[in-house]
Amino acid sequence: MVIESLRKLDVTGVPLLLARVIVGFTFLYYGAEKIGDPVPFLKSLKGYEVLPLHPSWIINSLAVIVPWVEVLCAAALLSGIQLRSAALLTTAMLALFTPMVLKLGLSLVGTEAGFESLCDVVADCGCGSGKIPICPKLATNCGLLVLSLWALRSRSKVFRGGLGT
Amino acid sequence: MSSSELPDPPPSPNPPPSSSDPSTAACSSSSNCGLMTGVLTILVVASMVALAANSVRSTNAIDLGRDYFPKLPEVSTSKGNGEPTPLPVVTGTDPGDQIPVEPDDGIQRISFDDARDNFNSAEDEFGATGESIYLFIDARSRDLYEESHIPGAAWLYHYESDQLIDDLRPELEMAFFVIVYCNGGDCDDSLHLAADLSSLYGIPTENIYVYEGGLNQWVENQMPVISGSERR
Repeated sequence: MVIESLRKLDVTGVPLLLARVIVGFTFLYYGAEKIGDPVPFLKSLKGYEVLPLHPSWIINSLAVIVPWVEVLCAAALLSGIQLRSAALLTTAMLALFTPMVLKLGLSLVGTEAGFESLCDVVADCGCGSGKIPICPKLATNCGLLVLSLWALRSRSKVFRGGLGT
Repeated sequence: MSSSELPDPPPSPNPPPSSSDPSTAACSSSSNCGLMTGVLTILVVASMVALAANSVRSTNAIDLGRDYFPKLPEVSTSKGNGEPTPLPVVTGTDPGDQIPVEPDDGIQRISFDDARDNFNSAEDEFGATGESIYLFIDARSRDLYEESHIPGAAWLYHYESDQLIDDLRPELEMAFFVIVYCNGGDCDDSLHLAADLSSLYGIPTENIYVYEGGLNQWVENQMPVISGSERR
């Protein structure tokens, strides 16, 4: 019943359009911010403590390349060209970074006055928006993840964009 | 919401590739092949554009080969004959006023009290002679430096230090006490810059100190700060 409702909703193309626009513009913003100043993102990658710092070209290259992947995914989502590939990449990035943001937030609980619980923590997750409350960030990421998955799995033939082929 | 609740992707109009065809064996269907080809295309194009853009930008470029997060080589605590040497110290306003530091990871740290004493000494010396053996170094970005910094502090952004070091080198080599700071708290750029000053730029390790409390602690203690690009 639920699946059937979702299928009917998907056929309208509206969720796909929303997913493309919301995820597209969000990734465009995040990517452009990081390209403008990649250092905070580099520091965040280091702060997540999941990447080796040596050899240094690994973490440095990721700090340079990932923002451009975000921008290209945004362009693909907004234009509809390579839509599903871009959606797969945004899904993968969100699925990767969201647990890392959660880990970062949990690691900061109790480290400063006022950081009593996860939702009190304000930190720079390297997402391109500076220091922000972690809980809303996690909720936003989860919403974006759902929309990315929708764009990936949608079979709607309307609002797909692309070159019209 | 999970992916399993969403409808299946559209069926491929083409038959699945033969598993005996090595060129397509990795793809379970042409739809998946197209999907993965698209992913690879985006990754390759993004990598090429990113590396090209990074190589031509004049500011905020990342040096791919540079270690931005170095550790300082350990300060030797023994002489050649095995006899231990005294721990490195910071001298306050009075040469006899010794302040112990922590050499455990090779980085000499100073407290707020030490930083304040060194600042007062620097201001007194500068007022009297126009120069000082104390040099405060601000490791933060240009925007943050111009927003507020310790009076007299020179700007040396850790992530652009290779481009900025030449202008500061004479002062760094003259100073006996190079005191590096950033914001404090979880900011460790001052520690990394201190390591680079020693290992990359040849400033004597024993002259380098990190004020870990940083500008935030400085301001909390109602110490003076100034804004703008001028040091004083």
